[in-house]
Amino acid sequence: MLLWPGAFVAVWLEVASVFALGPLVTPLWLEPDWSVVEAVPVLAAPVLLVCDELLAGVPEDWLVSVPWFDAVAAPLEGWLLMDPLVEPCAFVSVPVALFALLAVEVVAVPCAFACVPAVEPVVSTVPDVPSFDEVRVLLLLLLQPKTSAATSARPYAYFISCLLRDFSRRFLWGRRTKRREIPGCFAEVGIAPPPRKLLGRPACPAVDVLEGAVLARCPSCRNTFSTDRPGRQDCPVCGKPLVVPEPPAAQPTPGDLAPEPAGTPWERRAELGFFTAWMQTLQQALLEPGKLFASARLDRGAAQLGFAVLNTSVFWALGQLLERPLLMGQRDQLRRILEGMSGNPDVAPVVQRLLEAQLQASSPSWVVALALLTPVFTFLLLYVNAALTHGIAVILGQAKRGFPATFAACAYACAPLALLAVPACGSIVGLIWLVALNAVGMKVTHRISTTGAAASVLAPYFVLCCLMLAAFGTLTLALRRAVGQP
Amino acid sequence: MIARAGRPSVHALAFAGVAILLLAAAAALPLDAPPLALLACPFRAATGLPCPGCGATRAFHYAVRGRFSEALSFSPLATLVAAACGAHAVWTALRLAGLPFAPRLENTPRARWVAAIALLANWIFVSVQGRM
Repeated sequence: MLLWPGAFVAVWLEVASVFALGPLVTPLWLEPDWSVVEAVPVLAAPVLLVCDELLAGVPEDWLVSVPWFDAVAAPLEGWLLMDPLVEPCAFVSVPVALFALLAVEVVAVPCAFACVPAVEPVVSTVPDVPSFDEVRVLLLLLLQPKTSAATSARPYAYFISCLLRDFSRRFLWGRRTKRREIPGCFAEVGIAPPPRKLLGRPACPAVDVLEGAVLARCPSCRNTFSTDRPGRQDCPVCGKPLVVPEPPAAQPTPGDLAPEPAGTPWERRAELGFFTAWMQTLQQALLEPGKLFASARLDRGAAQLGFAVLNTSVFWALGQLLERPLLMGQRDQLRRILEGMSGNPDVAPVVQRLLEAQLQASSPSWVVALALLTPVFTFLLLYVNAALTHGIAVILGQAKRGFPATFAACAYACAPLALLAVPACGSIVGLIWLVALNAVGMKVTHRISTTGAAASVLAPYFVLCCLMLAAFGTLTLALRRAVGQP
Repeated sequence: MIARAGRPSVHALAFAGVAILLLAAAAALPLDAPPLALLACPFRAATGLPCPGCGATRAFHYAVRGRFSEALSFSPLATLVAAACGAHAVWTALRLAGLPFAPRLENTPRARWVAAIALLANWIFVSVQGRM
């Protein structure tokens, strides 16, 4: 668009040249009517198509080197489709063609364009969308006179709740929040009668939310509330004493109504095959732990125990076999150092006994004995770990589905111990992975929050740091005595 | 709370086995010989304070030998756990023999608070006693 003023300056120059040259040029598509052209003393573009026969007698160098040519070509650079030196017939100007068709239009249109200032074009923008606050205020104003009529306000409230929910979702960056609602009730609007507030009583949250095991209704105030225990207690709304009866034992709970999971591949090894089930379980535990724990059945404790013991024992034994040849040189060097230190009388007797134990631990008989006892160690540590994890989860109120759920999490969390087969660093990585997988398992099997699962898993290791070392040392010593070593 | 129950579950049997292993190891354990004598609590080494599990090994050791006063002086909670291990093993054996009752622990808020307070009190006791 910035080319337009310069283009019409050039057109003026071309007009002057046309008057000077006379009938040297002619339009391509019309016979020239110079009487008409000459009679119009207005801005007119020249006819710039040069015909060969009309150029006869006119030297070409004069045609392309005259001052008018430079004056026209320089401002119209990029605008004129011309290459006079190579193809003189292509000396074409688009405005000229328009002029040749209709002189009035050629005059009027360029003048109109010439009036446009040579400024940068402004990109047109979409009108501003009303902000969220504006929409909310508008809807609240609409809603205000109708607050007495809950039914008529329901669509507005629904729309507002959708907006607020979308806003909160964006504000929380996608984090899911706990939905406080009554199962089976319409929870989108969230219009619920507030609990009656009594003077002198602290404000309490909405009581008709199922947070405990039992949803009860007060016979005095007719409000519902959830409680963890049956028996004699006070209504949290009106404060009057009441008795919550025990739920019937045969009544199915929502957890019972949930479809029973199909079981992990290891729990379905009868149909999948032993090796396939093992590999699929290992793969899911390492790559899709949520899927694995969600499919675990809580009544298959024996199968879960078998997986943990088998997985840990096999890979630990494999790691021992791989480690011996790979780290033989390092062990020999350490053994020489220890032998030199053992003969030093300045070394304390306790340290000397430790060094002797280190030397004996690398013997083949010791390795074989440890490999045979690895299932016992795994069984022991698995149950100690599960018991401590479950104990902490109970104290923290996170044990929602009992010990079998905790055990399933701890058992399948032993899958990363397959890294015990990797010499040197495999055990460290495997143990860290085990802790993380244990937390994931607690979250999925107990259906608790991430924070609760992490606390339940990490706290036992804090407690276990001594017990695990003591148990391992005890069994090590017992084994040494059993094989006849002092 | 004692309630009627059928045969012990897999986990109950496994816990009985774990209890027997722990008690047997504690009975055969010489505390003043390596490698146990060389083991040190990492938490205590790092902070100078005992961890909640410190003293449990000695408490198990003395409880198995019937020296309950010494066991309690090291860790009252571990002494109770040792007694619970023995009781669970015996009770499971009785259930295998046909006893139709089993203890049932209620997961109530009061029980949770009692457990948390017991754990904290034991930790304070071990820290104050400082017998490790």
